Amino acid sequence: MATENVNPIDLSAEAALQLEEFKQDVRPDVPALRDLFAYLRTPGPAYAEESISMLGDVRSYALLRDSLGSTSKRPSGFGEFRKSVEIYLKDLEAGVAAGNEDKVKEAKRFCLSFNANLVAKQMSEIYARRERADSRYVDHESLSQL
Amino acid sequence: MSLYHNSKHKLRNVYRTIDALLDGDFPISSGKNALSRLREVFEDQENKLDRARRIRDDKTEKQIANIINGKIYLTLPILGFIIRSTNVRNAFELLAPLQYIADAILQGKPQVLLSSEWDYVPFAYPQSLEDLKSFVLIGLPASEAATALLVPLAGHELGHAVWRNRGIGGSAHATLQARCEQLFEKNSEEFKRHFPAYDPDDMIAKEILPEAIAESVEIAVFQAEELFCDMFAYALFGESYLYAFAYILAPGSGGVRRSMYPSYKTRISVLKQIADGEGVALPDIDTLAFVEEVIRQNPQDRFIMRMAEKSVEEIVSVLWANATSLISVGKVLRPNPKLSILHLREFRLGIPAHQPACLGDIINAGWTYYRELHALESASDIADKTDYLNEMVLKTIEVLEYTRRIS
Repeated sequence: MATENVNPIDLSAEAALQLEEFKQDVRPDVPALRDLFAYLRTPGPAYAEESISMLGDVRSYALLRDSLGSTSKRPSGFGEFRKSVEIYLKDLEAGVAAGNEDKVKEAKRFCLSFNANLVAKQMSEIYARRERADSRYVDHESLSQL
Repeated sequence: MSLYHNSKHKLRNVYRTIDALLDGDFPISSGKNALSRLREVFEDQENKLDRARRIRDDKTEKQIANIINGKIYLTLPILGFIIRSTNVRNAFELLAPLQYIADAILQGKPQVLLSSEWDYVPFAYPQSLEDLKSFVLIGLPASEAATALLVPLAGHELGHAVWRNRGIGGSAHATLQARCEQLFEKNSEEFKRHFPAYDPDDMIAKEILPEAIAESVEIAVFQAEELFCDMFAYALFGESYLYAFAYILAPGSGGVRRSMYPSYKTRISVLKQIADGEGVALPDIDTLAFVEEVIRQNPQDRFIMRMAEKSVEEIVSVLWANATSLISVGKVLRPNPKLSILHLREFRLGIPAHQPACLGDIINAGWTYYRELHALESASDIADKTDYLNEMVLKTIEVLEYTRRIS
């Protein structure tokens, strides 16, 4: 799957849909979930050397953390966190492939939560970009001091 | 209230809006192509919405309705941008040379759309526009949409597309993230002083560190991208990029620097350093009439920013190497001061330059003549001759374009 032609918002929404369809026996498998996890794991295009996958991107830390279910123990450090997310995703993949109802439900919850957090992040980036564009010319803080 | 039916109705209205625009005249097909692509994006969302409805999946239906709202929010300004791209306020002469550069450097032959913004900021829309990846949208402020001397700013905006399309961002990100993590490690005592609430043993308080690193990396990647785009524009346009940059942005607010952008001082000094290495003297920050920016006072903000900026400093030379390598491989000519002088002589005679070979040469000659005009005594003479200069530059760009086509 070429990561440059897909986006995680559409992938996670499609995965959630397919999981429900799988649960209702409308479809035999969930390829969108594989695609989503592959997207998370695959480094983006890089001109030279290697890039970073979304899973390895520290900027995605809060997004991924908030999309996971409640955990009794939060790993310390980003490296540990990344490993725990990998285990979590592998567990979901295996569970869905085996048709485990609880894992299908959890996978769908993750996809929807991840999707909602992505959309919220996208919207806040747009607002922030508009604010940044303004702040190139007008410093609101200094204006308030006039 | 039915979220499903409201979403369906919103989509119908979006289709109607896009279809009405598609009925209009487009001198260049890229605008229509972008509209058609956006229509497909909404059709895909409608398809998902209907599927969720069929299987009675309320939760997914709700989230898809949320996505639809988000996509409408993102798309409406783009629709405005696309329709404004057909307006004659734009200098259509600028499109072909920008497309030429895009074709030479970007992969996949993306289509360039040049338009105007009702906002005083040159803008590119590559960010968040997952749905229009094969397009490059560049907007200039509406009041300057026909100002040929500002095309170097479009070069900067094209740099944003290069950053993504050629994976410059991917490579830079990996290095910056690693470096930020190392810097936080190395400066851990200072971090703890500025962030006294941090506690690695507390479930909530330990999040302060990864979130601070994430913020630093966010800033670092953002600043690296801006510096890359400055370098890309400088590589294409030479000193005229700095003059265009100063025209739009100087003197700057002079207040506390709140934005994530690199400081003007950093941006200008990076380019000056590069130019010095090529034996070219660029104007400094005072000559360009920028005022001093005040650094942030909040110690936490300052720490995070400092870590980010230190990591970016270390990859400046790599970013420049990437910019020049892409331009060289794409066989795009860099400006040549000797050719620029020849064009300048023709502008002084009041005629478009003949045999131009490089867009940067034309614009550099234009800026030199523009500055010469400021020595005239009469304000109305300056205004008239500046307008005339713009016409000569645009005409010269047309000459460049048809020369390329027939050669």
